[in-house]
Amino acid sequence: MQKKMKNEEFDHYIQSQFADEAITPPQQIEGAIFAAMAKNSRRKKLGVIGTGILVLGALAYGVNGTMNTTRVVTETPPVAVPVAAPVAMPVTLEVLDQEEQPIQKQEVHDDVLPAAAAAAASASIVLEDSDAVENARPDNLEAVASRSVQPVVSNSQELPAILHETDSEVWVMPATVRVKE
Amino acid sequence: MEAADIHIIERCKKGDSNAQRQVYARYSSMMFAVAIRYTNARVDAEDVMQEAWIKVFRHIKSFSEHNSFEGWLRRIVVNTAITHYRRNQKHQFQLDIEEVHATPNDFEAFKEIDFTKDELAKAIAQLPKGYGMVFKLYVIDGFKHKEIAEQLGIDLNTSKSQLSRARRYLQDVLHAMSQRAKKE
Repeated sequence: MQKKMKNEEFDHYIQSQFADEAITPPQQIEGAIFAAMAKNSRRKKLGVIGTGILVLGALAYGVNGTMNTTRVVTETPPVAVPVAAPVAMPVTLEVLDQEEQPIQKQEVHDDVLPAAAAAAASASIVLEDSDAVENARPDNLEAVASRSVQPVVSNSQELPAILHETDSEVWVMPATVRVKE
Repeated sequence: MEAADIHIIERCKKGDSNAQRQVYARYSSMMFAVAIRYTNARVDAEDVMQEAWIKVFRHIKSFSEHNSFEGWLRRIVVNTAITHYRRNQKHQFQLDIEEVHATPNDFEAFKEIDFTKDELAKAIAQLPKGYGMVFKLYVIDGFKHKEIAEQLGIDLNTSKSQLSRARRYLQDVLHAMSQRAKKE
């Protein structure tokens, strides 16, 4: 007990000796501390500005997003499809291989023909027309030349109207030159 | 705490750099003395000092006027010194425990304690770093063993045993000093 008291006394004595301890620090420390403080506050300000810009950007994006919600909704499905497609790829390819023959048979049937035949017919019609135009071009040109003489000469009052209608088509004028020959 | 001190602290809380400089001018000597006591080296003390003051101004908003401002500052510089110590002396701490052997004497050998502050400071500075840290925290800065154990990352009983060994070591050093003084 006596020893413990001695320790406490000694502790108290030491504590009292260091109670008002003071050593003047070098002056450059003050400068270093306040320079570091200023640097930190500058960083803070930049951080606040950066955060503000980000928030404003996010708000602007959010406003645009709410205004164009319908467009966003229509655009999302095509994005989702390619993500899922690679996963289902092997299975669908096998299925397609198996189902390929029946599909070809169905195309051969007469039920499918009307649409295909119509398309083919329209294509052949176009071809025939173009051939006919090419074959008949010299005769038609002469006929057109003979026809175009009369309206230009006899109906001179109608010219302004015709010219007005074909104002954007520059090739109309050379046709009148041929008429003079 | 005086009204003028509260006013300066309030200004510091608002980021007033003039108030910060006033606080620095008033308490920097105390802070630097504590930093030197823990580091035993001026260069390290300057690092601790700088780090501690930046912490002070960064966290001054958390200070309550009901507490002692000087005590709060002292705690910050001590904690910063401990962090510095742990960062730099982590491995040496264990060596201290093994290398230093406690002396058989105790403080009952001293009939009177008659040492100057500088002599005491020199004697304490001679303590091995591990012992010295526990001794300074417990005896001078009033930390409890639980706090010391947490701060230094050691066991509670290790803190107690190190304090006991530090006392014996210090007594040995002081005894040698007094013997030398008698001879002179």
